[in-house]
Amino acid sequence: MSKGGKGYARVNLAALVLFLAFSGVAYRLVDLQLVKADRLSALAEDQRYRLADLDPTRGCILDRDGEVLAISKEAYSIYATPYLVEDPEMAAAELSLVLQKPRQELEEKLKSDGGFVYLERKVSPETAEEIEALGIAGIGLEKESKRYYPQGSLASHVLGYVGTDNVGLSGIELQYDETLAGKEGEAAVELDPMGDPIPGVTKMIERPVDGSDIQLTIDSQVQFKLQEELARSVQESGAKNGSGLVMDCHTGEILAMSSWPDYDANLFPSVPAETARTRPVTDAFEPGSVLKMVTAMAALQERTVTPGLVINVPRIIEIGEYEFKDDHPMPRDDLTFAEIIAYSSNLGTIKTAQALGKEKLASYLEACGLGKPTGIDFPGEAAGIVPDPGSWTQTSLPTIAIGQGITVTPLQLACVAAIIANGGTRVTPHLLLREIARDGESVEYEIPEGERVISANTAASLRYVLGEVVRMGTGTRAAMTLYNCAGKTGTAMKPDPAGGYREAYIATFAGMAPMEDPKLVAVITLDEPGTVYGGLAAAPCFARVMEFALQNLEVTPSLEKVNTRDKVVNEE
Amino acid sequence: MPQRLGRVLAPKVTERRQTDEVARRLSGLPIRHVDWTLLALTLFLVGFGMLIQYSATRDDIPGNPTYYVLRTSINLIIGLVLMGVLMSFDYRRLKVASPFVYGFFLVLLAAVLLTERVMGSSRWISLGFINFQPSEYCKLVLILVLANFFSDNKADPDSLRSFILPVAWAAPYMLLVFLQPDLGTTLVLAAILLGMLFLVGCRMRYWLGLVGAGIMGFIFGFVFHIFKPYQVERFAAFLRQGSNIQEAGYHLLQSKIAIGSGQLVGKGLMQGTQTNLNFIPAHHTDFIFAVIGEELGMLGALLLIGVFCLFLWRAVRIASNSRDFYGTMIAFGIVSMFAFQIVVNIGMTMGIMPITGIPLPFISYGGNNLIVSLASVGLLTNIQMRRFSQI
Repeated sequence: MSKGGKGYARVNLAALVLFLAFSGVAYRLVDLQLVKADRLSALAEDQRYRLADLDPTRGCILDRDGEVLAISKEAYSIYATPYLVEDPEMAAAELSLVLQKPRQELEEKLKSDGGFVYLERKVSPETAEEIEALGIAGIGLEKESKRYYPQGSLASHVLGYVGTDNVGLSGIELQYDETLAGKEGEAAVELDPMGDPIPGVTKMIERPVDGSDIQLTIDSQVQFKLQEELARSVQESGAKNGSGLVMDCHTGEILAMSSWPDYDANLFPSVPAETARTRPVTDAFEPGSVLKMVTAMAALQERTVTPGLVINVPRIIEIGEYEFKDDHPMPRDDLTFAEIIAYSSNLGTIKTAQALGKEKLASYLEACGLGKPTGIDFPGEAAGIVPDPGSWTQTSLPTIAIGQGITVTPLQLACVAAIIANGGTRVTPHLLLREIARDGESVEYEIPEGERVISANTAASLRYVLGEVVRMGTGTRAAMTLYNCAGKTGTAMKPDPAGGYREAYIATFAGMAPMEDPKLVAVITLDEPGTVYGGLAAAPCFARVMEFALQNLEVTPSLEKVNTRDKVVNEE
Repeated sequence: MPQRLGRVLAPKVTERRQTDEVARRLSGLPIRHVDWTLLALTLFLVGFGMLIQYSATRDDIPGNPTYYVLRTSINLIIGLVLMGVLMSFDYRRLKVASPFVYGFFLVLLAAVLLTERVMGSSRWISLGFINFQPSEYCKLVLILVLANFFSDNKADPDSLRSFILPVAWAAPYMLLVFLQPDLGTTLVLAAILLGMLFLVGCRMRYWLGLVGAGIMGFIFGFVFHIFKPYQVERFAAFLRQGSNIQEAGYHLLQSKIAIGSGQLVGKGLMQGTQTNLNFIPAHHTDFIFAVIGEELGMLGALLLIGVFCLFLWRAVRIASNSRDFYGTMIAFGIVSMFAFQIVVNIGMTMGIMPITGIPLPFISYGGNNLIVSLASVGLLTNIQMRRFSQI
């Protein structure tokens, strides 16, 4: 019976093995379908649905008249799935003809490892069509949008740049990126096992919200004129670069702002960083005599002087071990305050500043907004450097009074000019006019309440003084044909990075017009011009831009000609 | 009777034969003793399989949703006819025929190797209306010759002779099938051999030695590149799950994803997303269980496994009820064949068995397999219904 028992044992053992095997299978089933079910279900969903971002259309950027400065166009990116491309050499040859790209580069990409490589980003729909017509296996098109700047180099510095992923990287594109970009939508696209979308089964999860349009305060006409004149002045004067801006002195709206050299905004990625700088906002420099506007403002408001006050201007002022001199001879030793400013006498200004005192000068520098950002809606603004009054040495007062040892941006100078121009109130410069949503609803830029810096009377006196600059002083070349204007020249020595100053200048003209009831202010800066005096290099540029801008705004020409071109006392 | 199982099982019948009750039964026709439960289970499995096949394939051939199911129906009819034929005569008559059938199929297997390769292997002989796949039928033929050998063997089952000869019977089939190459069927043949040797009571150390030799052969095959690259890849996919997203690993992952995403009650028949979008490889053949797991969930899958268990239990019951040792061994051979196929196929779709091309009996699409499975049921029924019959 022992043998028989063994027989049964075998049957039982076999049954046990079978039982265990089926139990194992059942256990695994429970494991997969209950324990790991969530993870596996998620995997199933994952591979079946791909969440696709739905790109909203980026808003346009318009100028103040509604002219389109930046717009998003349909574009296509060409990509390859290298292992699907059968004959990379042939494909590269065909593609290089259409894409205008070196064959070798394309061939390398087509032979690369990996399942995805971009051959070219954002080509036109026409090119995309041609690519599609080639019918090469493994080459695909992806719809994207491409930023296009129809005006080319017009206001390119202001507009800035959008990266390939449709994110604003500089300028207004960056400043108002959120508004322009809109809100990305999301859709689930059902995929087949090859990972290709199945047509018609897209599940919209969230609709994209298109970006709003941004209307700028920029006036294309004035902007064009500014860029044209900057280019001309820089070339004529042999300057390294130039910058300029035109601003509404009452509202702070910037009508034009540019640097030279400028560039075509459509070519941005290949533009050198130096060229792409929006210098009026980002570059602070030692302004030189232009800053005498602030000294004069303080002195007149504090009644230290009046325009007609006669001041004896010494030939030399010694402060400690330093000697201050005028760098050009004054016609007389006794000058009125207006003449001191008109002839840009350093010593006269220093004497006035000394009479004014450092606290008062410092407080006006602060009240004018120097040493801190103006608050313009533009990224990367420089604050400039105003030494803290507590740390002023004995030479600080005289040097700062004449605009050395302090840095400001052209935009800050425009704000100072605007205080004088508009009757004493500081404005916040801005580029945004309004945001226009897709449904047509628009949100206007809210102009903040300006802070009063000086009285209207003082402002009027200052305009008279600055008008004398143009009538008979250093700024005669700023005289225009139709309008009286007021302004101040500046020729600042450039600091040497090694210490001290070097024989290089920045020529500046900051001014306003019409003098009797200013509408606009403008600042022109030329970096290291061949002609030394800003009055010579920057003032004519100011005059041409300003006159054009005023005419463009249809401002009535000045009735009583005070310092128009025919009234200018020409001493040359 | 030298056979252990013969001694164990046969006396019960012998004793019963003495009784009047048995005598009364003997007077009846064999049809009275048909195992209707087994037939019902079989029909349920085939119907279930066709339903799943329809669900899995209705979109495979555009405009022809019933392409596969219609072909299965034809095969079902052929299979049922063969089943009927195999029930119509006393199975003991096969004893005489089986060596000749064995030889006939040996020739067929050799002939198949000379045919043109389809998808990398030569398995089929085209008969016009159907592609005849000898290796499927070989499984049954091997069962028959082995049962024949064991029931006739006069030597002690412990002896080396009783071990070597069955191996010698099986070896030519296994070699020729392996050369096709058809690793799956080779393994089924091995399972039949090992199962029958085990149950007949061969010396355990021989048996383990044979298993060991098989494993050595596998390692040898890997080292000397006897296996096809896809076979190696499938095995690697099984060993390193998740890390290997080569084709086989991908298939295995997709299968697991499908089953796992079915959860408790499944996504519903025809609703399987992984199935309908062709994520599951071979979703109507080798990986059909993944479709069941996805669409019918754990409950549906467990139901199927339960039905298979019932089916095997009925087959084991037939083995023990058989009037003679020959029938017992045939039934056990069939049990070994089905059990191995079921466990390996289902296990493979869930990553607990390596991927080998073994279909799921009755459920997978594939005419030859269905016909052989039905023929096997015919044989089982034959054994059961004639358990009282004298020859």
